[in-house]
Amino acid sequence: MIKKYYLQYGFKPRGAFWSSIILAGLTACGGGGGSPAQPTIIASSTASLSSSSSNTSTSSNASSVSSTAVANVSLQGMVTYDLVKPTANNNGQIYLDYANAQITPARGVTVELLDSLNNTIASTSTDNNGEYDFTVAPNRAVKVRVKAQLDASNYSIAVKDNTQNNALYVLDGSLAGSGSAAEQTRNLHANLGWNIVSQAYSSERQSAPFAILDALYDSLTMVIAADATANLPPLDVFWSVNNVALNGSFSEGNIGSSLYSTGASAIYILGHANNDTDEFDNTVVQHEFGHYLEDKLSRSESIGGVHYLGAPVDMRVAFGEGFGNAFAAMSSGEPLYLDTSGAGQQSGFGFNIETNRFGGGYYSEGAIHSVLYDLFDDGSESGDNINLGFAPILAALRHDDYITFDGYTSIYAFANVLKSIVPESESQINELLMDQNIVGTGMYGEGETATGTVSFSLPIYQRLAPGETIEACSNNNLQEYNGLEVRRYVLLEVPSTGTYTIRAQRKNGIQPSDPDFQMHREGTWAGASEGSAVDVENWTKRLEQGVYALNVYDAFNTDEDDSTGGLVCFNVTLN
Amino acid sequence: MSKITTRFYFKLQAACFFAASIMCTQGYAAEVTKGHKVAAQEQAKAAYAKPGAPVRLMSPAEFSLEKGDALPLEVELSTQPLGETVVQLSAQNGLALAGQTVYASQGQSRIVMPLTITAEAAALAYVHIWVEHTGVSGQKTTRALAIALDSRPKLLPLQYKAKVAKPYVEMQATEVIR
Repeated sequence: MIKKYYLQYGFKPRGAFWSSIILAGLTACGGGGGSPAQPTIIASSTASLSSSSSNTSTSSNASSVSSTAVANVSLQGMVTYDLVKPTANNNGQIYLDYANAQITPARGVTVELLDSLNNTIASTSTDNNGEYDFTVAPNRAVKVRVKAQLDASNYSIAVKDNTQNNALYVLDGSLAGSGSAAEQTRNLHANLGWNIVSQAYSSERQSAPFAILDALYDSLTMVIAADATANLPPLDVFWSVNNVALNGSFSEGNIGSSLYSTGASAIYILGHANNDTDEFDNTVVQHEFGHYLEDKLSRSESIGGVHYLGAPVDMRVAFGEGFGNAFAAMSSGEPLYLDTSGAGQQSGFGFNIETNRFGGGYYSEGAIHSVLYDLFDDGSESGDNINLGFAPILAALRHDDYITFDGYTSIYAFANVLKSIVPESESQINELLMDQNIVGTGMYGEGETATGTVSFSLPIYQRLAPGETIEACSNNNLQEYNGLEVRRYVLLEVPSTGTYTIRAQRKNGIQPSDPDFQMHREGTWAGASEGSAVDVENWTKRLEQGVYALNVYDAFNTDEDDSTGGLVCFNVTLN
Repeated sequence: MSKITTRFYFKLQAACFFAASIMCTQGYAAEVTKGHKVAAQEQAKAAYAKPGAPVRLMSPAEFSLEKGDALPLEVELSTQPLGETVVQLSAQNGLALAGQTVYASQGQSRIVMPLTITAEAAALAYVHIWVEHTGVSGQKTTRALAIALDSRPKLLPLQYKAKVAKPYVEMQATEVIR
């Protein structure tokens, strides 16, 4: 963890090392200039540090090219980067605090030792102090390369540039002799690139990829501590100074927003100076990582899209976004979500995860993040008498009853499974839910009374068996595409395997209308029917015995254009 | 498939991404994950964007113009009528912006800001749009958007140089060796 002595430019017992790093940092912060930094060779024969790295490097295949007194050189050092923290002052200003940039260890990153032909001769990872250690033959020309990636047996995360053919960021030392002494130290530092005089970025923003990784390292540490068996699929995080809040080609940087893409299984982070940069907004990075976790370790039918905390949204979106917010607070160690932007990164907004000011309800991401964080934290504010930590939360998300549930993801399904894991905490969990006006029970939220101002939003699920007719309505008054009122959830009860026709016929409302269906079976995608016929949709499909989750909506309410669409109701049948 | 969804899928096929408000298609290969068979055609869904102010840019976001040319530009935003929305626009160096650059709105779902942009340099430059929304509960949220204006000289096909993709973005560290 970052300690105060970094902030104060104080010293660990290893005075000589810290003095050199501080010099490097001061040069970095004040310098600008734009030319590549040159190594400072203090004294190649000085060996003042003893290795404290707990990591074991892979063995070097280097052969000795010298007949000096030592058989091998312990080549060790520390990797650091400049960290700028998002900050909220007493005036309510949210900003990146460049004046208090901190030299911070790069934890868990991959470090390689390269020969003069750039062949890798050894590889390791930094420890929690950013330290690494190699054994190498004396007087051999070698270079230290730090890769912007976290690698372990159960995870692999890399930061790449989507505007440069997805190239991996690396921080290179110089090609220099390993010396003839028993030890050699090489400390590498990634500079911020910020010019303190002009208050602008003026050189390569080297520290950005390492700041992103360090935020994710905190998240990974929490996840692995909660469940050592968690096996995370590889994740690419794409960051570039060219990543702009403009929708378009991702390879040109037009990513629109920092986001998690289920299609690409990747996180994209904004880097557009004076507009929106997120590499130091650790909670933004961790929020998106929360989406990745939900997607890869659990299940998510969230339809994503633009969202803000005051609007009632599709319950799947509310749960996914609420989990992302809460997860960021859990793994950052503070219940504050801060997102900086604007000229000089001196504006932004933030909110406290614990004090939901956005309204309750199962459709409110603010309500969801407050419930989840209160389950986790050890706070003892009114109504919060529970402290579960992250392990049972992750266990519920990974529980088979949750993953194979035949409805949609929501706070109800999650809370119900969590209560089965920690039955002794049921009353406290119910208390938290009721505090956020979430009163439905069971996996399907039966008995819910909160309408979110939508007259047709309850019951949350309607059931439909062969021969029956139900009414399902769709509207975009609250929010286009993912608002609470856009889609209605239907549980199809299929008595026996066979071919069935699901039909939606306009009953009243806007005309022309365009009813469509999407369907899931036990959390997995079971297809969509998005025909072009006006006012009607027919979907003939072979269905297995059991329950399917169907959502019914009007295409004009999902087209990202709020000048089209409106209130329309359909008669839905299964035959 | 309706015209609307056809439009979505066209965008999906064309670029895969439509960013924060865009649907992103997934693979068509059947597979088994988490012990469950995944249907051959997976769910199309929008990217999971970060939280922010309730605003969308409805007008085009990418323009080409020649150096020295002035371009009339109507910036149209869709926003939440409840609460107050304040929009501020500024231009990056190389662009000159004329017109009302600060706009406050209450009770409106659309904001249109007529502007004129002049490219003073042959460059790719951006108009920054910064939106602050104050909800009915008093809670502020923000969102930054951008409009790209490209006035770089266009290269003829044979002027493009072949580039070899590099596996690394190599950054030279500040290094201390002793």
